[in-house]
Amino acid sequence: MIDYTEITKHLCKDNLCFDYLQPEASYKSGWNNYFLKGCKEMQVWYNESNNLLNVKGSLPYYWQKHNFSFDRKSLQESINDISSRLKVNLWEAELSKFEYGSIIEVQAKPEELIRHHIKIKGMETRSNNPDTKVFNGTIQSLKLYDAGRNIKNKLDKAIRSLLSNNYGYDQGKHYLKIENHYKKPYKALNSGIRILVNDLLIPEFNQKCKNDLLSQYRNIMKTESILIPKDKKSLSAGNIILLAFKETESLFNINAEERINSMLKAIPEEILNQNDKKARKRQIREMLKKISDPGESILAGNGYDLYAILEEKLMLEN
Amino acid sequence: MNAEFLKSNHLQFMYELKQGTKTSYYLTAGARGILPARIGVNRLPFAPIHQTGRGHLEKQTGQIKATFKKNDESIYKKHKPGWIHTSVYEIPDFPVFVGYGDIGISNEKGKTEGTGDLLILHSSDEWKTVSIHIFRGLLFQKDQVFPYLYKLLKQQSPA
Repeated sequence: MIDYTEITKHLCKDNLCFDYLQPEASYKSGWNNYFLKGCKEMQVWYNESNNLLNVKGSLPYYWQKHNFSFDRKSLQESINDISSRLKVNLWEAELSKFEYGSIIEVQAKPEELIRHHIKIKGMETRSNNPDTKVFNGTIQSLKLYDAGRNIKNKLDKAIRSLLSNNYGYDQGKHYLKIENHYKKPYKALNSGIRILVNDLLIPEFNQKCKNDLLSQYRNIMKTESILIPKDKKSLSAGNIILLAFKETESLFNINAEERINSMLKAIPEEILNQNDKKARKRQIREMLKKISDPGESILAGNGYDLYAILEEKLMLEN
Repeated sequence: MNAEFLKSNHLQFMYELKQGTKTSYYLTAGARGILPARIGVNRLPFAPIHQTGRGHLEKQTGQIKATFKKNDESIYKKHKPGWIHTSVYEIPDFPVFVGYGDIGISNEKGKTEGTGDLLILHSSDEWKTVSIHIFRGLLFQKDQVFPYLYKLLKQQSPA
């Protein structure tokens, strides 16, 4: 599903129509900023001296006031609408930036899931609050965020009930959005060849975006499926450290139990004798068993990897 | 069907809107003796979807009408009254084009008959100029022609 887009066009013979444009600001650089009348979601930038047009904003918010779902037909209608308002054929404009993602229904709290998505090799991880995480690269970035919270905070009641009636939204459920932000889409998706807006409607291109989203998601290093014990007694400070250590073992390609055992071995006999070491080993083994036993814990199931859910959702989207 | 084959069957014409009119266009570029120098192009932005003779649902987006002059010579001028009528239909994957159609010409009975030549109509400047692309005999291979022409447009347009 397409969301935010930035469209750039060199207006050769086109005469930009200002009838639907509301002036917002002018800059010394020659750029003039407008909004499409009545819609702050869609910004129009025009530079008369070099005859450049830039249209940016979220197409789903512009067209339907939400981004819970946005199908091909709506995409086509929204571009046609802006084209006819500006009297410019935007289908042949360049797609200079865009976001492609999907909202999936998840069982656990998005915040909890996001916490377990750690990093992508070669990308910087940013997280200003627990319900959002961005893996930032130079050509593209991948963002995970709590879409359910966005719906509750951003959308008015009328839109929320429309989502419930027409799109199967349930405010009691959890929703997570996974989206690719393409800063240089021509590099990320098209071997350096520029992408036109019309490409968004070509099935092969759409499939390419889906595959790239899945592959980027797969690249995220996720923590192990750690199950937090329910009883307070099992959650001593030492055990919490053990939990955190076990959780990150796959990220560093180590075996937590082996590392602990070799650490115990390294401790001199004068400090911990054989019996002390055996007792501690037993305690640690018991704890490790506890955090991998679904019957004794809060979280169960297939862990934090959402690949299968995302793949299934993308297959259903057109 | 390779790109060279498509290229050799591709004819391109540019028409410019006559000032003071809404539908009358004059030829400004392209080979002479194929299409009339003046054509009428109607835009049908809100035409209803209807069942066409091709047996599937298509949305009509435009219409081209023209008549050859008495002294004109053309491969499309075979019988009186010597007209060209083409209905233009939406191409769902390529809205960048106005649409496509089968070039219809007048037959011996004076009725319009399809030639099987594929016409693709395009305008990038809000109908001040229109370009007409003809692919001779390739109406039924249109699904291979559309991506070819789109690729060509991508290479040519400044964006």
